[in-house]
Amino acid sequence: MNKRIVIGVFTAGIAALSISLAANRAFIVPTDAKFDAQKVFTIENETDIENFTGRTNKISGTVQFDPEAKTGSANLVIDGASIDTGVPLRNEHMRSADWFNFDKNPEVKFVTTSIRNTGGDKYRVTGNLTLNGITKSLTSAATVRFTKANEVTKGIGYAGDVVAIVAKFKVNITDFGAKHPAITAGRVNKILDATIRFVSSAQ
Amino acid sequence: MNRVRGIAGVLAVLALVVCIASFVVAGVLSNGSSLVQLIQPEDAAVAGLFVEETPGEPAGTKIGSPQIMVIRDQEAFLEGTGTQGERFVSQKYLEEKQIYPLQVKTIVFFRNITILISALGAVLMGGLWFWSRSRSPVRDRSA
Repeated sequence: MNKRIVIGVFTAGIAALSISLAANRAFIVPTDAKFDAQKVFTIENETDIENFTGRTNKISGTVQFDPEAKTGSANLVIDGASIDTGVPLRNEHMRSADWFNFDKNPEVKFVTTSIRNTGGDKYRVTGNLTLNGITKSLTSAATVRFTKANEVTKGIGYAGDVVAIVAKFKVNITDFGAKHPAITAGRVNKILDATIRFVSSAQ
Repeated sequence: MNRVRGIAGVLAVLALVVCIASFVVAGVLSNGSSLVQLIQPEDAAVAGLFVEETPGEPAGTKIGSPQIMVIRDQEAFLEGTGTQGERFVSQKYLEEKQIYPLQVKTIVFFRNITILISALGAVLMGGLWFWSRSRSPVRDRSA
């Protein structure tokens, strides 16, 4: 009898998981240059001299999202070497081994491990950030908005339904190998505010 | 010794002038500064796909957090003000015009460095002036 209950519960669990997975739909972050203006990654740095924000729109990846269950996952890649701070010499510094080492490891990856809806379009996202070849878990606050394909989305150029995501998180750059003396001296903030904002589209 | 005293005196006065001038120059450079939020403007249709952060703000992506900046070109400013009273500035416009706005933080940093160095110079040269003065032979005023 007990064996039947266990098998029944197990089967129901598998069925529920299958339904959940089936409900998650795939969305792709378009890499075509015409969509560059609709995606941006920014990272803000405070220094003694000025506060500056590096940014890039070289974002790619996939999003799985179930608009009814409000669950999903994401796998994103940012081209760190393309981050522009507005000053070419500073860009070079940022790419060097003392800072983010983008010359050697240009890819910044973020893979979600859990997404929890906190009400409305707001979510708490936990994931693994890989920067300079080092992976650390971090949590971010995000907003996710699903829009069914309509004249507006078609007019922008998206093939199907879209999911627009904004996630904000803090990155301790010393956790990812940044070791410039200015950081240890406190002349440059070691905890930076990062934001990723993009639209992904169903194909 | 008189020559050393003369040079030290001139340098001490010069350092004081630089010290005072740094306040004036920083004040002039900071004139017209305001709390600014840079925004990369975007089409209202695209902005509508995202969850609106704060109603009434211009459509677009915020670039960093609000900073006190000196932007004299009024055409760079967008409509409205933010919750902290910050004015919105088009990053696109700044890039088109090749404007890299000066932050008040930068002005204050270089002002403070100048004050520190010039004040230190004034103290050192003033000290040297006093020292050389005390070492000078006393003139016979009755002669």
